[in-house]
Amino acid sequence: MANPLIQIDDEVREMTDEEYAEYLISCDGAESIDGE
Amino acid sequence: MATTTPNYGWSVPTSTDYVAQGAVAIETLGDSVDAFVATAFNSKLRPGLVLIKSQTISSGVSSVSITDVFNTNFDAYKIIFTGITTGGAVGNNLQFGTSNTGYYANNLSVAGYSSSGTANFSGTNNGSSLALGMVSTTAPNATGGSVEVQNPFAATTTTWQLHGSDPRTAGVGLRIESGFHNVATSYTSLTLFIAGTTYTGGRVSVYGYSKD
Repeated sequence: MANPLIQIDDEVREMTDEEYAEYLISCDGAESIDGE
Repeated sequence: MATTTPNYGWSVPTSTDYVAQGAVAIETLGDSVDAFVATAFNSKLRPGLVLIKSQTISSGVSSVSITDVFNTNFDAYKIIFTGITTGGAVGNNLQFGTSNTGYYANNLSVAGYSSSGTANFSGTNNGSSLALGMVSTTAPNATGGSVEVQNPFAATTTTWQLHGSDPRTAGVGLRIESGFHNVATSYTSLTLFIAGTTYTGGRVSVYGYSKD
């Protein structure tokens, strides 16, 4: 399964495995704000 | 015969004027522009609020990095979010650079547009991001807000204050938050991310408050 897409300024590409790992860490530690 | 510019009335030569008077004409025009800019900028190097970058968010991305927005010219910034839309109703988040630790904040949100609206107090203790909220999938499905940020470029603690709103009639009409990023590192970029879904559009604009 492909990794999610990341946008850097105007460039859009698939996250590298390292970027995806950092993204998951960020998601896990984010405050839960459901539906705001 | 000299004439004047159409908007501000600066004195300029016409095509039939003598070339020998050109240096004087240039000096006169230069002085007029210098005086005008000095007044407009209050004798500072820059106008009070400077647009540094305005970035459109592409549809389908889960993370957005906006580079080269913090620099030595400014200590304080205003980040404005307009028309942010997503594929799912989950929180929108911001990081300085790609730092995913050291975020502390208190926030208040009020849901329900009536005198009996429900106030929710929450907080982040050493979290992974600044929680923006401000995302919904229900029509009109476009949320907005702004964050005031101080000292993201300086290698010291960064502070912020947030105002955000959710346009759903059953949504959160008020979200305010203040906090700090307890990492003494200099950042030049910011990152937006959303968990478990993707952005479908929106714009982020970063302004700097001039200091000199």
